[in-house]
Amino acid sequence: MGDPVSPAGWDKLAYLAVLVLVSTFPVKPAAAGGDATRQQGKEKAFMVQEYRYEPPQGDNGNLDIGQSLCGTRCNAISDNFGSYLKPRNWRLVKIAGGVERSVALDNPFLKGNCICVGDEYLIDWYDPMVPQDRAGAVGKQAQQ
Amino acid sequence: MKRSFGGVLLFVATFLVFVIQPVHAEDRPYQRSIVSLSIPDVVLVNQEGEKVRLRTYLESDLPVAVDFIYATCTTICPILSAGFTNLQRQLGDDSGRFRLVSITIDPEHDSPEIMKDYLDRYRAKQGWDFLTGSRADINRVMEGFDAYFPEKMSHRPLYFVRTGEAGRWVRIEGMVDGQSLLKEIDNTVNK
Amino acid sequence: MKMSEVGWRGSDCIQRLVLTVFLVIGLVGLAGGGAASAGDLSPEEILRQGERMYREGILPSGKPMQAYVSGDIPMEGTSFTCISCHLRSGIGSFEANVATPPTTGLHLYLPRKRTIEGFEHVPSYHKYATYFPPRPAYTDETLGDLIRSGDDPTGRSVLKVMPRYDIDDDDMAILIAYLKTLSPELSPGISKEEIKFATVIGPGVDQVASDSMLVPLEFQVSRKNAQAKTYKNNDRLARMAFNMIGPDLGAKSFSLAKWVLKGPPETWRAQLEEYYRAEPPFALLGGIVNGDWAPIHSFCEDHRLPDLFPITDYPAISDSDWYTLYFSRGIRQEGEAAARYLHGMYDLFSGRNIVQVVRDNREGQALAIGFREAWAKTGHPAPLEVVLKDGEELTPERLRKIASTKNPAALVVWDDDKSLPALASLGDLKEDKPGIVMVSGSFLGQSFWHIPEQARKLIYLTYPYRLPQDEARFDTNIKSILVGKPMADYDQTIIRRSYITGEVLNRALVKMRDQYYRDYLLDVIGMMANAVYPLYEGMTFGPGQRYTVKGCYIVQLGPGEKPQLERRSEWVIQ
Repeated sequence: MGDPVSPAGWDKLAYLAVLVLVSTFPVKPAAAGGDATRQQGKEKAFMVQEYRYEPPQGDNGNLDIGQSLCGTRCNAISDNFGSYLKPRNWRLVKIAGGVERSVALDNPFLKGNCICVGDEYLIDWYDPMVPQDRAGAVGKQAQQ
Repeated sequence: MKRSFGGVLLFVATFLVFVIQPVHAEDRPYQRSIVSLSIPDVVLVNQEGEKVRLRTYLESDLPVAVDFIYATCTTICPILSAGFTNLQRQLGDDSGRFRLVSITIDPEHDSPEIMKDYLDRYRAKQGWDFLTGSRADINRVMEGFDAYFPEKMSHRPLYFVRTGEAGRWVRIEGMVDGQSLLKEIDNTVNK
Repeated sequence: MKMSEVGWRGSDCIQRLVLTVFLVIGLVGLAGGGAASAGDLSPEEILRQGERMYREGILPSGKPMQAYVSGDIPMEGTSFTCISCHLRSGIGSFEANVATPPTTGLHLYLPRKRTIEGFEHVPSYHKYATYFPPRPAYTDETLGDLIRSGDDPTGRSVLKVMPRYDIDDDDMAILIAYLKTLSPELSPGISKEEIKFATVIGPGVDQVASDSMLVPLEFQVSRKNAQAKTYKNNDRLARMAFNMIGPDLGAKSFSLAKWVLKGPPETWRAQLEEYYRAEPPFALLGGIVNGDWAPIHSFCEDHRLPDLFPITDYPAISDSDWYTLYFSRGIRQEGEAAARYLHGMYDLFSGRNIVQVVRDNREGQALAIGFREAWAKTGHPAPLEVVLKDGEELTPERLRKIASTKNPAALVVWDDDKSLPALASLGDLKEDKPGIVMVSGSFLGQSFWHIPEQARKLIYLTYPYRLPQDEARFDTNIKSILVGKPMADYDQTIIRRSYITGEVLNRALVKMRDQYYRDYLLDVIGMMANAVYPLYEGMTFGPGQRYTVKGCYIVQLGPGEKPQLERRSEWVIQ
């Protein structure tokens, strides 16, 4: 090792400086708006598989229309696969199946609850340029 | 040695040419199997705009045949529907004895009005209903019949005929002539 | 003979001559063939009757055509016509694993080869040509045999999906004469080097709006032209393009003419005719005017000129017109969705009325018509209506009076943002509250975000797009065609619509495989698979379907200071 002020020493310092500089670069290049859109909205998506109407206690007079309106209610809260998978940089990771969510039917003319049964997915923003563990991605591989 | 190898090759080639022909499924005789199905409990809408709770509707006492079509379909559906027209004609005044159910795989487009027009074009009589619903529910019905087509253009010609046993259906795939279809349905009645 | 060359390589004139000769021979044959009735008909009448057989399945006598399918199943021509599988252009289709070959004179009267001569790994005329075995050219006689018995000139029996028709000689001659006129030559606006497109811009259209329409279309044009230049300079790439996207699409450039209209709508037709005469395009892309699209719609119908996705809230509504493909039925579709949503719970209304309050202007009337007509189909009693004259204020007192005197189960209010205080005041009602209040998200505009919390459970909105929180994810797709220009400079819905037009056009051109016929463009789009697009939660295609977006959400505002929209219905309500 020579005197740091000598030319050989300057070379080593230069390399060290470059190393330090490079190590301050972010690991994932931030895509335009990526972080911002990632913070928006919710963490989980819910895809309804089936539904049933729970009438109020002792009131079984409107079971068929209740089932129909619960269909609308549960289908409405169900998320749409395509709207996650088509835009770039988004994917869904299945985290639970057969989850029951009870929501009030919320119809001004009919009381009761709807049990919406479905699968839960994690909404994940990712950079396709960075190697990912694809095993968790939604798709046929993820279905049990 | 070489000669027999050549002979085997010739045999295999001939076998391939004559047995595995590049014809479509539709040219082969239709395929028939018995399947177990679980019908989802969804509420669909018929050509009169009335709600139909599918599970109870298909579990009726009447013999039931189901197919999957859509109103602007080009090739396969007209054949399936002509099959239903023919069936109803053969049954004559008894057409109401059978429950023929066509379920749309294009629920976005096929409204009650459009379905009614379709049934009129096929001279449908009492006993043949056409059902639509939400996209999610229609997908569930297709999955229930193990006949899910992610894209309506790639659907297959299918009839389902309910047998006497709970949850068991005859699945008919391919082009089936009028006599055979009538026989399949008659068989389920006589069981 | 290469299909791609037939249109213009010197054999253009010869081809036209050949077809004219066919037609003349065919017609002379009819006249001189001892068929007294056919011989009396003019060429126009023969073609009209032939078209009726092909498109509607009706014989010249007025009776339906008779046929058999699947062997023994009788079928009337009215249920299943030639156009069903062979499509309007006659080029054929592929659906459910059944490939339907072309039935145009051009294809029938030439021998069929599987691939293009000289390029034996490239399927000819469409991707599924490899399914069809080679055959010699048809003659009038062998074609008649095929239609009756299903046997082609090689003796092969075609699939039983093809009906076997029971047609007499006279009618057969008329049908065959018509087939010879199907897509006989490539459409105007197509040359070896270029495909010409045009777009329409009406008077008084906001600059931001027209730029928002143009930018995505011009992106498609400039990208295609850059690609064409590359293929001209690089043989290997050109060959790859040839194999993948068709014989000549790679090398073609696009151009997009702007047809700028001036003055009142009554004068537009003449201007359109002038533009068309000067340079007929292959198709119109997009287009934007203030007000009704009808004048351009009729122009396109008369010239058989496709128009893909004009930007309009007031499309022409027709069950049978063919040449304009719309995004949706416009703002009236929100009225239709509201009616269907209420119909779903009508049985719970216990006989109570529906009241429709309508602002008497273009938007209000369109919404009301949509609601009224969809409601009429349900068979329920018609809604009571209250009309607000243009300029008349909808005060909270007025609206509350309507609610209390008519006691509706559902109160439908088609009005703009000035009605917000009145709507909000309904939330304070203790008695005589309607069960549901339905309003239009588009008509209210951005003001709906200010619906106060106490009214949010009562008020339902029609919202004709994917929800904002989901639509935000599609920004990346849109940015890709802006090439650095800031998205905020543009109208967000118009730029997305135009983006969709570009995508659909690309897909369609690739599928056409050098069969550049206007009718075939629309046939191909009708057969396209559904896909996910920005802006609309669902766009679906189908043969003959001319309104691709059939849906509209019913939503409510969620809780909190920065509420989100929450869905209360599916996208398409049946």
